[in-house]
Amino acid sequence: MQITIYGPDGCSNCANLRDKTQNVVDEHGFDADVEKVGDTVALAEKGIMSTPGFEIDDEMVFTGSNPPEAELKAYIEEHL
Amino acid sequence: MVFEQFATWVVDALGLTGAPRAAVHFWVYDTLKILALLVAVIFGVGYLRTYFPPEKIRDYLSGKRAITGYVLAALLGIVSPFCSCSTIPIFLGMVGAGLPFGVTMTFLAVSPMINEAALVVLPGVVGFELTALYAVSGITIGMTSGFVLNKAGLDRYIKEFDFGNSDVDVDEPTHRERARQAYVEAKDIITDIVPYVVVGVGIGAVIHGFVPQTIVTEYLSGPLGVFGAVAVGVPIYTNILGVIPVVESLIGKGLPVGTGLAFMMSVAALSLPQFMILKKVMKKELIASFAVTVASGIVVIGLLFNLLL
Repeated sequence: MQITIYGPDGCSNCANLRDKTQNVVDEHGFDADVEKVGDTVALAEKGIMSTPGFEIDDEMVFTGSNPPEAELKAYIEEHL
Repeated sequence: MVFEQFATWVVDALGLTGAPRAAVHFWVYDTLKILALLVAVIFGVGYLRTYFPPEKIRDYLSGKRAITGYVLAALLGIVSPFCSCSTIPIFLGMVGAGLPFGVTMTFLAVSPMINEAALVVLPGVVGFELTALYAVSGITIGMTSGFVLNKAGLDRYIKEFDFGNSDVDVDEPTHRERARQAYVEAKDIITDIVPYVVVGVGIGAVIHGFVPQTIVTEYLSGPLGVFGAVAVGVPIYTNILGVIPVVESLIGKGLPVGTGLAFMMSVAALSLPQFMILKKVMKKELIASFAVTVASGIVVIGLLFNLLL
């Protein structure tokens, strides 16, 4: 599974979501690659106005929020 | 007030007198005061903002007449989050939705210049009257810049890009989720700006305690001061909340108010990192015109205030 976090450089909320997601993946041993995309044009092409955007495979799961780890885990499990 | 007492306690405990006492007192008191205000305001506005996601505002703006669009874009600029890393995606979303070019540029100009946090911190520093003037002039500069750039036909310098559809089903959040969202946001913003505030107030404190008034009134006054302030302010990249205490001290030492406001605006409104991000979606002709238009607006406002106040 590919998890992509869309957030421009300098957005600490976005970096924080990436770290939390990586934690969840490591902790529960999910088979997932976590990647962060910072290019603003890439964000625009994905239609993101509120950062960060959280995408699993090709589905944008949520934008503009930074939920707790338990919720991230639930999102990942839904996509297993 | 408790912060005042605490600051006095600190300088007493350190046994300071004279200029160092004034400087340290200023530093402790202002840092605490500004941070306390910020925590309250950023959380409050963050909570309210969950009711107005940018996507909703964009859709609302789409159907409006141009003049309404300009005004709303300026207001949106005020309440938008204040990192350019969050305003630029909103700007791109507005461009992608085909909102009038001038309206999008107004948002881009106002957003970094005026924000709710600055509007709450400023009255304690420069008074309500100047805060209102600051807000009104910032909005005026933003709207005028948007209008002028549009009339000049510069929309042709926006690079082509496809704005996608994120297709996220958003459930109406509960109060708890809104509060959590506001909390996370406030925590991040505060963490980001604490260094700016501490350093800004520190510089302000040094000026407050040690810089003789004659230096300010002799060298930084006069009409050239406004040009100088803008020329120095544009390349500086810092948060407006870090600039406020510096300007506070300088005005206290006799800096003309228009010059102070111009400095504050130019630091906030234009910065090199912002230009670097914009370069991906705008040609340099447009970035340069944007910078020149906004900077000229700031100079005019500064000169005008020095003349009138």
